[in-house]
Amino acid sequence: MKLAIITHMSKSGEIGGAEKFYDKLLESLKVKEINTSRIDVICDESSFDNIMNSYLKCYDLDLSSYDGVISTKAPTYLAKHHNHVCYLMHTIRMFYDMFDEAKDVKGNLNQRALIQKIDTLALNQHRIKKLYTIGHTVSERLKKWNNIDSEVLYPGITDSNFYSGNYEYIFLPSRLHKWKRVDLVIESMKYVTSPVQLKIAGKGEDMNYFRYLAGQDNRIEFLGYVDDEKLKELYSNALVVPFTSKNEDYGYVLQEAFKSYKPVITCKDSGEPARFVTISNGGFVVHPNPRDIATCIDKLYNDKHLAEKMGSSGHKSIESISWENVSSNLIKSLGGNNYEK
Amino acid sequence: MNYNEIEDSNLDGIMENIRQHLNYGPQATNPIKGYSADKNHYSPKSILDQVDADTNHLYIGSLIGEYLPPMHKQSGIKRIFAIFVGRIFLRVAQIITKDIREFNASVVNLLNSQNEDIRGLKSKLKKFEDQMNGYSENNNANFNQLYLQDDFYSAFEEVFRGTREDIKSRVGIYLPIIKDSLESNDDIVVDLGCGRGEWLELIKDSGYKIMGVDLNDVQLKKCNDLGLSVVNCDALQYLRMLESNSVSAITGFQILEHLAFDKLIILMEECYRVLKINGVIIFETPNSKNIITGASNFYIDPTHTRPLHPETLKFLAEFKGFNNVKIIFANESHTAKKFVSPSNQLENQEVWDRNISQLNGILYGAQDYAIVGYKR
Repeated sequence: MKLAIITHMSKSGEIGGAEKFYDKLLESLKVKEINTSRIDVICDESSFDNIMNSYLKCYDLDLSSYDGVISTKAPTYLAKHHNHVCYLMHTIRMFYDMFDEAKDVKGNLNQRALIQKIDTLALNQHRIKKLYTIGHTVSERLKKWNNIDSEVLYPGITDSNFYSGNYEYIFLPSRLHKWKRVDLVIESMKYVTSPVQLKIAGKGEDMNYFRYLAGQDNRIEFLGYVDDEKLKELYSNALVVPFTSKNEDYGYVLQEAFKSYKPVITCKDSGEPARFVTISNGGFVVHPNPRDIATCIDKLYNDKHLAEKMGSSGHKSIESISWENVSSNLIKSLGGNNYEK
Repeated sequence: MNYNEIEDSNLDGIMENIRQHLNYGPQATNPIKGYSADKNHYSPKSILDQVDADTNHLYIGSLIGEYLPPMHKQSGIKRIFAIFVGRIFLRVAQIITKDIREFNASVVNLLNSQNEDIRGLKSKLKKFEDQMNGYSENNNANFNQLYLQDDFYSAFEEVFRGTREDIKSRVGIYLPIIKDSLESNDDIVVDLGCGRGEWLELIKDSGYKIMGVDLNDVQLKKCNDLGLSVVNCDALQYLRMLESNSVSAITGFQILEHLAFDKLIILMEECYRVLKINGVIIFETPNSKNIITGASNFYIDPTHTRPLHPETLKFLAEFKGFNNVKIIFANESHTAKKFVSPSNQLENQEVWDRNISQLNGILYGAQDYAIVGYKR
């Protein structure tokens, strides 16, 4: 009995969140002693022709030697197989909700229509036995644009052994891109009255802009890239972790913060993180403006007890989320126990 | 390419349409070339292994006709007869195919040895690449090569660089270039080696945003006090932190002459990488075409390494990919320092004398100098 996970590999060889996601997914199946292979399809999204080419590549995959197939990101679900389950990370967002913000394809409605049509047909229940997504934001988007129902199956976090220490500073791990709205937190420091530090970890194309915004405020520190060990350490002694980006599909940052018993400040329009925080009461959900964020920071700084309490209830709320649960569900949908061994 | 005509409402139809648009034959990609279900990973790394396997096949193929097959299926008289016929046939075949077998064998050998060669070269290349990466990552621009104390250099510049207002009016000539290059209000200029921040202030006063980078804490503090955005960081290190195609303008006044030439090359490369399309660099440095500057004043600053000829710098910039590279000669000497034109002067002889003594001073003046000091 053999399973295949089809993964999307960017042509530039970039390693990001998706890469860790694939590794963990594979690992969670292998732990159950299931013969699982990973099939990387190299996809190029630099032009529409190349995107179409990637769609075709996935569609043409010869998967006849496998008994079951799990597809992940667009366009891997184009693969043809009689026993096919999709665990969707996302479709190509620049043809959906990010259409207006992506410069390169702006305005080409025909291309958008074609992509949406193919996706709708490819994710149809006649082709795919079961469609899972990584979060409600993705599911809602599918419902809105493709009118397809799906089930949410939260992925576990990619790294384990997070721990908690003191409650000292604001920790902001993020890709430094305007879409991530790091500027919101930097701006909020102008209104924060407490002598609390803001530590920002990560790299990105707007680093120069954010450094400029931070200017001479020496409470703000840019750490650049940090490795996993350092990351956990930074989480462990954080007072609070702001996660303010817009329309997040899932957000590992929130999971990691909760695993480290830290409260999270997020915005009403942040997508999945806002849902998590609301349900768990593990932090604050505020309007996306610096003053409101600053108020929350000051509040937590002056009441570390509250920070601890919120962090703990956050931690509790995500206890049931694990890769074990993910692989069990996937296996069940693919026809159950035949795959054990 | 036009995808408008794709109107099919069934997935297979659409995909076949796309295949035709992309000019793929139906078999060309089915299954994907080089993809094998047995392998965990479909990656181009395995090409060499594939060649190995293929040459092995060739080798086995080339052995056919070398030996008599064992003919296990036969027995008794039949077998003796078969072996006899086989031997005769093999001998005849060997005579007929002698040339072609020799040729085949040499081709297989050649392929084998070339494959080995490529493998060796690849691992060597990998090693070099790793070394290079390590080399460039640990290397900063090292502006303060002499590890001067910050307060020394700060005081030094106060005396020799000129007054704040003076500098501001000198660098003002570059302002229009910056204005033209900025696309949006969020564009931030990066100034390497910002020093006391005259340029930062000028840009800020003109309504733009600029980020200063320097290593001198004393000068950085001055910038800070003036409300300018600055960071204590090595110039190359800062550029490396920035993403490709992310900045509209990079400037640097009187810094290139502080760099070793190999660092200068890396700096240009990094600038090119970091700049957006249509972004601009401006680097000002002492003009070595001016004899006084190149041969004398240049060495006032002990942290200078070597004068840069304008043509050298222009070539370097163009070589690293910059377009429309031009040299702007700036900051001419004060009129009082120049030779006086003898025409229209009443005291003609006096003017000549003055000019000659000035010229003698430059060309044939004292050849050495000594420094003398007292403790008071």
